[in-house]
Amino acid sequence: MYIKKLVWNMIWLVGILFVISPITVKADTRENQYLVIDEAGFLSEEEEQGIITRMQENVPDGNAIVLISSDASNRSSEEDTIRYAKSQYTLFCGYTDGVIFVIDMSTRFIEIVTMENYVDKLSNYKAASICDGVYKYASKEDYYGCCVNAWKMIGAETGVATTKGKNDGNVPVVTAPKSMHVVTNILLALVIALILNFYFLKYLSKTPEANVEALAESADVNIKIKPGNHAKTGSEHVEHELGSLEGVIYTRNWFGKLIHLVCFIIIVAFRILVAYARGSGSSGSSSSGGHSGGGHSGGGGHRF
Amino acid sequence: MKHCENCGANLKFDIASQKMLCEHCGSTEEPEHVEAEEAKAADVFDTMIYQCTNCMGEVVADENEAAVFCPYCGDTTILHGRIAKVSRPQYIIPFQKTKSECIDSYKALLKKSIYAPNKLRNEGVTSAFRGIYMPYWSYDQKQDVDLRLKGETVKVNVLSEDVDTYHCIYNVDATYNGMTFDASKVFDDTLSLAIAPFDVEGKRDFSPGYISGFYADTYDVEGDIYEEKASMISTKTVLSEIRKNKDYRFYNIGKLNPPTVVKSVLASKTVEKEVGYHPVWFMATRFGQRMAYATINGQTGKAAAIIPASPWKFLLFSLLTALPLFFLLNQVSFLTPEFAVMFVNILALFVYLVYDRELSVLQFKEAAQGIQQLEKGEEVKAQNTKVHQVIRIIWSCCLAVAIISYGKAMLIHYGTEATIPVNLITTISLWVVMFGSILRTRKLHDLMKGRFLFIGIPIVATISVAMQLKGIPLDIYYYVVSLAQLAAIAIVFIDLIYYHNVIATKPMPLFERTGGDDNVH
Repeated sequence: MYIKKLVWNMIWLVGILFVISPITVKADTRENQYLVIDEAGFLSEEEEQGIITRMQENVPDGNAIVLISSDASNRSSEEDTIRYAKSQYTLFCGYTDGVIFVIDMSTRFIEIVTMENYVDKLSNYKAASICDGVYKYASKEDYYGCCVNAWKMIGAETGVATTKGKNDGNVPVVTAPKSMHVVTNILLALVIALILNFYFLKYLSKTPEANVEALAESADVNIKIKPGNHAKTGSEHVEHELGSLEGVIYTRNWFGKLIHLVCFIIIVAFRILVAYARGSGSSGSSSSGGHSGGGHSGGGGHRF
Repeated sequence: MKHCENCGANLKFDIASQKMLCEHCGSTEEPEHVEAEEAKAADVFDTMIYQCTNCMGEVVADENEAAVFCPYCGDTTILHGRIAKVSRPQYIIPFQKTKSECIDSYKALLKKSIYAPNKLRNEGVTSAFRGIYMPYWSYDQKQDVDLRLKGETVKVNVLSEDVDTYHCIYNVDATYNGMTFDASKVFDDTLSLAIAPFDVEGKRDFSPGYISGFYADTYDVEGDIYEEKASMISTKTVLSEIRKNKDYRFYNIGKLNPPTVVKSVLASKTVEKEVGYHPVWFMATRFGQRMAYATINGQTGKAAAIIPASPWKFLLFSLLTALPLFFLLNQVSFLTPEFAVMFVNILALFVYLVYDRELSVLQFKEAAQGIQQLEKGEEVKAQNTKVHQVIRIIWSCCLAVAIISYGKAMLIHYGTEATIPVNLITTISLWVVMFGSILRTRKLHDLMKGRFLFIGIPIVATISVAMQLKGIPLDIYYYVVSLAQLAAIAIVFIDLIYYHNVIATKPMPLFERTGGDDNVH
């Protein structure tokens, strides 16, 4: 009895200690990483260094990776390339904030992918605008210019660079085209307004109709209904197995149907659970731990 | 025409006092005393009939009424009058609401119609209301039947139930006096239902004195036309009373007895039918070759009008609405060029569906002319071809898939690949809806004169899909296509307003009248 009490007290103590102790997580203290992964071999060493400098200037508070994947990478879709880019990022940079700039030569696509919480600084819309602004360099096979300008614009959009479009030597700077957005928004607003006004016009034009009851009420109506005999003509006793489908379908009373339905669902759910437990018992537990939530996809990929 | 016994001037019916009033000396007389006793027993009464030279419409009016306005086509011209004997209605409901009250009701209605043309708000137009007595058929019906229905009670146990079946008998003894339906082909059924009901307790025996100072229409719909409808209304009324009975639910009667069977047993019989005059303030306004009618119940003051829209006002309000939308879009817009094209194509599909819907309403309305307009229209709806039903299923599925795919693309990935299937589905849907619209316009060739089915939208959508499949990278092309599609959508609205106005108005009436000098040999 005494030992039992002691064991229970120990369990309570451990539980309380567990709840009140602060849960500490060792922070990832790696330094920011700036990498250029040029699988296609388009960039010289000087160009790679130039790009890294730009990344350091414009993303001082996170990691930055440029990935230029080659034609021969055999990735069939942008999703594959982005998955690969994220895996490379995680490998080098862990689960910390940062940006990946991807030039995918197999699908001819450029994209900006923000990792972890960096999306708060560089939204999908801004990422899309930047891709709109720099894809032309990739179209002309000026991959260095494409990367450099992309990082400059990232710095401008995140507020790191003090001036937008800072010209650096021979590299021209182009801002994302906004005028076409504005013109599109004008016409879009007009069309949506036309639709809304049309529906409002239809609503106002509805003529109220007299319903049947109103037509009858205008008349002088006198109704006498006398319930007569309710003669019993027959009796039937029906049995249903509880939780059977037959009970759900053929029970006449709604309450009875409900009881049968609830039991039916419980029985079916139980059978599924049993089958699942039997089937997965041999495979062991699934992997646990790891980090939930991966990076966010950047918006606005662009073909070139 | 009755003259004042005091001064010999003409007597007219005064709404305020509900008596014949001499405008010269102010003396009054009961309307029933206008006519000689022997004339009251006749089936006809003497009056003037005026015929419009424009539409050949005929109205009954006082012999001294200067009939200078045709209530059917709105033409202001001296109408040719002749003395005639007109079928005598059995009763009349006199006007209770004056013209100024009627105009106030109409103005209150117009206040809500922000798109109404300014023409309708002019004083000259609103004062064009004319008091017309419209002919109505009034039915007295009776039901005296023992209703035998099946019933059952169910006692539920855990694993079983006990069911007892019953024969339930209800004795129904019901009378309905004064169910009314308009008896004029000219009077639009939608409007006549909209200003209903009239309180038949206000009816009086007919006397020509009541129509003095007003117009009247003669009935041209036979009495048996609405008997079935009257029977249906009385059956429905009785059924709703029976359903209130507590035994009805207890014995599950509603579940066990199909309504059609119950209705066939409860079918009421017409005991009496008679024609009466009901007061209506009526206004006809001309818009080109179409007429817009406004009516007000002369007894209760209930107003109804189908008001056309002014295209310029519609555009003005759209521009005003577009302004805040534009600022909102600038703040939240995240449309890349490909997404802009996709979104615009979905918008275009939505507008095209509205367009097709308007054409179907037009088709329904064109079929619903003459008597029993609503019934004819319902027949057209029921005969809606299988082709249109299939088309409807296809575009519904396509629209659902397009919207779900768009939502998925927005949430998960912004890549171009996500937009291609949505665009493809939307484009196919546009062509499907276009095909359906072409089928409809074949039946509306009179109204489609000078109009063409704007096929710009599906063509632009096809171009956008081709561009995406080709993988054209330059943004400018996508923006140009989006702008072209938006412009095409805006153009479609010109047709939509036109169709709305056609639905809101009626064609100029043209009555076929024979007799008189035509048959002289």
